[in-house]
Amino acid sequence: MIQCIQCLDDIRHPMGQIIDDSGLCTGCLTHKEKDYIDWNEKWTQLEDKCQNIIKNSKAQYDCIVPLNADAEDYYIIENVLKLNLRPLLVYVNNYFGTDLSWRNLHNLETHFDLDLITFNPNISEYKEAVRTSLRKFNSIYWPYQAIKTAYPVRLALEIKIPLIIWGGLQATEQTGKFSHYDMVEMTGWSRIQHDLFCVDEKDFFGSGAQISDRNQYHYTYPLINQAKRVTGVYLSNYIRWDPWMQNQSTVKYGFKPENSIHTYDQYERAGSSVFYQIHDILRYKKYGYIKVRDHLSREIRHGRIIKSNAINLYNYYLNKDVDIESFFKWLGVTQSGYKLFCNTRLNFSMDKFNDDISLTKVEDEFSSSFFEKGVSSSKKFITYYKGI
Amino acid sequence: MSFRICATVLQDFNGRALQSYNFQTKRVLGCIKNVLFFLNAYKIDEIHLIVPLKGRGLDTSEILKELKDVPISTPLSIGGGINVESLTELIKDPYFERLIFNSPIFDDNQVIRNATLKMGRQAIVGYIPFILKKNTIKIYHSKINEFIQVSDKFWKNLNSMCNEIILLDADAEGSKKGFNFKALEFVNFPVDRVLISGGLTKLDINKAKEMKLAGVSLDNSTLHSEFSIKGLR
Repeated sequence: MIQCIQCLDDIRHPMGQIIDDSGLCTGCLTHKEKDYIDWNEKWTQLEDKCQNIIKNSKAQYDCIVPLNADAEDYYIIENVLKLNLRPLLVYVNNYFGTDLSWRNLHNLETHFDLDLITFNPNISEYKEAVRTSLRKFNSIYWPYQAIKTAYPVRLALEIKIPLIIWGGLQATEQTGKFSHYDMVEMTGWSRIQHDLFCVDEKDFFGSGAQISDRNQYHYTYPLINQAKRVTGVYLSNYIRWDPWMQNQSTVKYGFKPENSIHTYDQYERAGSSVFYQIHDILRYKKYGYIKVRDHLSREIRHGRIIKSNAINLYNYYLNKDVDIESFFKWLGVTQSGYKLFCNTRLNFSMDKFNDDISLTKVEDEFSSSFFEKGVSSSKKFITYYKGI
Repeated sequence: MSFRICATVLQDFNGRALQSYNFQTKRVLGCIKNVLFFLNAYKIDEIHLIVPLKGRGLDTSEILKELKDVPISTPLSIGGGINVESLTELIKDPYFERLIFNSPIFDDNQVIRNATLKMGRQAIVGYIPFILKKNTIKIYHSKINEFIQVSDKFWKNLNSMCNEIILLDADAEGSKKGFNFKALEFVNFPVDRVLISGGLTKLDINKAKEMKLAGVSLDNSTLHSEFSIKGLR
């Protein structure tokens, strides 16, 4: 496997990675651009762009901000307010949130005193979509990603909001798939390529999913000649993006970080019942690595950890126990079905992840860090929607 | 023929579309079929799909053949490593409108002659990446992976072999720093049969229209924003 000489990435990254003749991956190459960009000028460009987009709008809100219920949301809102925009927050419930996730979401809403729309997909059909996603594509996230990327655009069109503001563009931040100079915006193409791993709605629903036509609508992106009326911008094209540092800064707004045994990053997807559990195992199965590798590569690029320490930490996290059974319980799969999935689809024994590698202190592996006193989730898969 | 707005897509041997910057750095764009599908939806006039070999004598016929099932109506021109043998295979079931050549223009035009016999001269496109330094233009020769100086004979041959050329500003590729129009002073080829590519801005496209060029071929930027070409018409 060809690996980058600087970070931990190899060419099997799901976003698509190229290692050049010098041995550097595009992620590291693109990260270097950050040192040469005039970020003050970029911010001015963003201000001008936003004002230009909203100047003829008569909508009650200037922009939509889609949420994940993690620390990045807080950082986005902070910047949206600096831009003097009136945001409408939109949260698509993926039903994977823990009590901590809901607490952080509600704190965001009340702290900033902003309007929030929460969209709860029909849960029984949503579970059917998750089952289909798992069965056909070895992923649990297609249904959530499909709604999360389509619903805000549909809503924006419906109430005539011309702008959607997203946080980091993962394709650029993780694997340097685009140059920062490209100023990539939200597109229907990018949605299918990066969020839906090249499986469009037609492929997904044509593959045996029992989802009613009425509910399929929520998973479907508008026609592109309609979608073009909404501009989606990524803040990471205009702000020197440094997730660990900026996410720590959101603690001042009341965000609660989560202590995890699967990553040192207490902020990204804090309060998810699946992100570092079944979702990570499926990532490992398909691409041969777990999420913390992305975090570690990021910190190598930011100069906070050397590669040998990052490898140590990666091996430390790689061997941590994971809970995937609770996901199958939530999905309504029987014990025998769960075991069958582990044996046939995951094709490994869960014991593999039980060997503990000792490490004196995670913090000591970094030359600088952004740790905070975190908390733990106490309840997984909080089913919180209309009628409850 | 009216001014055309085309798009260039590169493809690697893993079936992935690539983006190219300064003719050096490559970045993955994604699944080729998805890319072609959206370029079609964005109403691009023509897609130029090229497998960059850069000196590697690899057989591209298999990956080019795989594209025939992509359901698009946009005219497709393909190129990269097409030789006499692979041409015979490809034109058995042609799903493309035109063929793009680079190396055969320099030293082995048998494949171009065969292609002309089968598809007509209007189907032959020359791919001409260039660098312009100190008033000297150098043209990229894919087989030897170098930019070389060319003689008048090169332009004469190019005129006789190719209906159109794609003139790519290699230094500006993938950027928005502007196409180097000075290059056209060194190109001995009718401008109404020249498509320019590399570093294109909206101003460049307007200038190309005014100069009555055949059109432009956008590089990576087409998929960077929704329906980006609409404002360029």
